[in-house]
Amino acid sequence: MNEQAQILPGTLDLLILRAVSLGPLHGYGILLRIGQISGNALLVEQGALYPGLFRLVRQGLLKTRWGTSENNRRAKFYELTVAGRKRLLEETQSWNRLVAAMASALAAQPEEL
Amino acid sequence: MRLLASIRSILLSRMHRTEFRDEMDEELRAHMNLRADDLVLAGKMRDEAERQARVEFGGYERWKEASHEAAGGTVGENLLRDLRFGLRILRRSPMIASVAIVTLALGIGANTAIFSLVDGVWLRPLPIADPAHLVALESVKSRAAAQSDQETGSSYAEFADLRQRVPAFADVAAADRRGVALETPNGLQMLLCEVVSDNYFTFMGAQPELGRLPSESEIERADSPILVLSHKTWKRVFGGDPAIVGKNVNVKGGLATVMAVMPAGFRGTERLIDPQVYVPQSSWTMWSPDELNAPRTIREFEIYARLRQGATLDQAKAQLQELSADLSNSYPQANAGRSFIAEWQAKTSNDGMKVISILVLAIAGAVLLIACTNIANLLLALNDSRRREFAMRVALGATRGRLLRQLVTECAVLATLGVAGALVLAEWLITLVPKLMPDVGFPLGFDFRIDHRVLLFTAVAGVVSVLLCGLLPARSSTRISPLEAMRAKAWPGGRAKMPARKVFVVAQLAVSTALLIATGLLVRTLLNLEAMKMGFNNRQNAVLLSIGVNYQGPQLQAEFNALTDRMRALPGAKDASIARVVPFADSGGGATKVVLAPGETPSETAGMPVWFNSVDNAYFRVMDVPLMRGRSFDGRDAAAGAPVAIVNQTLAKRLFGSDDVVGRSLRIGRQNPLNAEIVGVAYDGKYGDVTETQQPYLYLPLAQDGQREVTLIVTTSGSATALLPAARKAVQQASPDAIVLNSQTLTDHMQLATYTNRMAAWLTASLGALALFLTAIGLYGVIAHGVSRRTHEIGVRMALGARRATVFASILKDGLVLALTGIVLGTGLAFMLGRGIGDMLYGVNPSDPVTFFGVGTVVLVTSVLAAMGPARRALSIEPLNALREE
Repeated sequence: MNEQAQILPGTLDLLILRAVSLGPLHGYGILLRIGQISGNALLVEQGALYPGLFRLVRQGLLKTRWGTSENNRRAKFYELTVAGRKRLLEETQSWNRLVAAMASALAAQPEEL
Repeated sequence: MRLLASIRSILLSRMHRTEFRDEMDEELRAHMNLRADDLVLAGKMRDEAERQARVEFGGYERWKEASHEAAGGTVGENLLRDLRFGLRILRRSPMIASVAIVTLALGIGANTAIFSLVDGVWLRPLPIADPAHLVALESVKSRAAAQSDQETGSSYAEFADLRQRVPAFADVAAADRRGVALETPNGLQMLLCEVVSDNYFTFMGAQPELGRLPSESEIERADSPILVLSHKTWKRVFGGDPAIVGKNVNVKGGLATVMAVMPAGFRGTERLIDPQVYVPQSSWTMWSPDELNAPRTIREFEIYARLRQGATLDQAKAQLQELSADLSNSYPQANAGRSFIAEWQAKTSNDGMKVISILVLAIAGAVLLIACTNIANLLLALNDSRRREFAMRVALGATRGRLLRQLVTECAVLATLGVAGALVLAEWLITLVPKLMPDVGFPLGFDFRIDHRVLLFTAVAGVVSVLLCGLLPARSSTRISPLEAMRAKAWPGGRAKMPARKVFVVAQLAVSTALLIATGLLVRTLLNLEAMKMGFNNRQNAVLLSIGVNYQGPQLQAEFNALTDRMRALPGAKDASIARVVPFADSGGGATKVVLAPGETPSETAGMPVWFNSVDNAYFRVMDVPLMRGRSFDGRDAAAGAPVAIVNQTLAKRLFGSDDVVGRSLRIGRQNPLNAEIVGVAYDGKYGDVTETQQPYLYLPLAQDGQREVTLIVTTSGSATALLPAARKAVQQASPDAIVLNSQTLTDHMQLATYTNRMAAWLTASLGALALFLTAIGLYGVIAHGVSRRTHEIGVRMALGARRATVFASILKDGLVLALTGIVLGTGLAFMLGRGIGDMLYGVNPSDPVTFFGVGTVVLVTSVLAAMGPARRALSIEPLNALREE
């Protein structure tokens, strides 16, 4: 249990955008994809995904269409819009900058100061 | 582009809301089915797989709501959703919800009722034109020693002077209350009559409901008296006769023409009484021509004025000073040392009532505060158990403002229900009030109602309550670090700190304690007053009939004798007597006689006014007034006999420095005094007010000092209430011309004497009890919540072998610490409060130790009882279950 990290507020959106960027997915698929790309290290309560999805749709970052799943169930598929792709790029860069800054801050040795 | 999409999505969600919801349902269900499919592939049975999929998904409705919100609901929709969500949460905790609603209803209801009383007594503007600019005039005497000099009314002659000789006044009006006998189909009825100056109706800017209000000159020129009815009299006495205007009615033995009916609610400048008829002075003096030349010393009229355009109150005051000086030069006997003062009527009216009103309103406010903190406490407890939910929502991007809005909406749901309950309660309380009013023989005019002003007050009280009891706990509950809260268990282990809640409960205990101490002091005052020696037997069973008789001289005496004989013959009657008044008459001490000190030279300003009574030979025996020296009046003291008098101890000492005064001569009257021999000295009593200082008092024989309005006293060995109708009837039979102005039992009459104290004690007692009750609920809530938070800890302690008694004691101790802190603080508060109500106390120290100790004990015992419930529940915790709960 302790191997899994809590999701920081705001980071769920980024994860969704990343998951969908690899191809259209339905909600459950996005969840599986997040698990897969994070090496199952991140934990999301399943229903918690949907408010995030609807918010992203409202912001025009995702678009939806109804389709059929691999095992023939009717499901709603999500894919990135142009704006969504742009946002993913920006957020990824800013995330990387944050991670780099944090890493360097945490790795700082006394003599460097 | 994004904006467009966003708008489209909102529009879509608005236009196709149900479609949208159905679609969302379908999507979320598809998710669970897909998950279940995977679980089946992993080897689970289908139904087991579906169950697990549902569990993993989490709260379906919650996520649906959150998704809908994320998809962009409007403010209105959000509000609706908050409401629905709030109702659901409250339904899930029906105990907390109903306690909160009842608490609010009690708190706000008490405030609404009291505000409507205060509004009716004092705050609400008078139902006349421009009430804010009405000036009230009073005539005051400097160095007024005797009570009679403290009269602040004016004579009608003075009214005429004020009207003509103060240029700053545009107009001046006068009004006085009298009784008038009206002949109705059901016999003679005494009505409360406002005798008013002829310009009164124009002055008040009043419009009639029916008929026409005649102008001043019309009234003066009218050749027969005119009468204006109040709405209630029109309805009650004349059955709402639509053709009443222009009809003649028999009044006071003469005829009067009904000119108009005033609208409901009109009462001129009166607050506490409701005049039943209005008669202009010109009409009144047609019945009583002798009043045309009433002496200037009879100050019966209340005077009101309005400023001329551009004039100021200060100018008016200066001109009044001049007029006062002129008058005391022209009429030294009546006006020496007197001057007129002017003040805005709205500022001066009912000072005594104002103090009581503010006091009671403050107390009611304190009770509401208790109610609010109580609910805040309950909500804090409720919110605590929802920390996980809040944390989840914050993690999902809900802002703190969003959560605050949700919590305040929930509280508003409570408040709305509470306010509804409060209005029902207040309405009921208001209908109760007239029944608590004393029977004073005339209509008390308290006009209590729930109108737009009261509703506004209630609404404000409601909103303040919501903010107090919603925002406070919401602020602390939403201060959440999502990571922390989500990782933490629903009940953080160990003894959780809850300072805010403890502060609330301690504050409540303090306020209740202070309130109850005030109650205790007022109740002790009341007991002291009731146990007080009144100087006569106020506890015997007796009826009092105020009657008016229309005879003079020997005929009057014969009439009085016939009446008392008839009364003594009544079955059950013990004895009977006739006196001008009995102590504690409605008018206080009443009329006075001027008595000269030994050696004082008669002059226009000499002597001291003394309250007096004219009594028959049986009075001292019947009323049980002890005679310290000398004798009572008897057969020797007839109209033709030598003038005699009886004085009380105080008067004897004032005049002669000793009470050994029997046989000495007393001079009654200012300029041509009458010599009367003192034949007895009566025990000092109370005459006008229970708390008055010892007043001088003079008794004259009724035979030598004829009175036409008297009080008939009939004592009985049985029930006075039962004797009352028989006595009334007997008066009518013995003397058909006599009018019974008022009849009541001595017990009721005495109740009136201590009425203010009784009401104050009653009000603080009920509010204090309410406060203590609410506090007990609050304490119970806090301790109970503490116990449920500590279930795990208690389980562990028990599992480790803690004895049940130890656990019980530790929880009880928590309650006791809170209670004692509250009581100590409340005692401090009571010291301050006690000084505030010092004026209303009698014979009890504001820091009376018995009251303080007694109230402390009551609060402590109540607190222990409140803590007992949760403590016992802690005992029933099964260690195994408690541990498993984690």
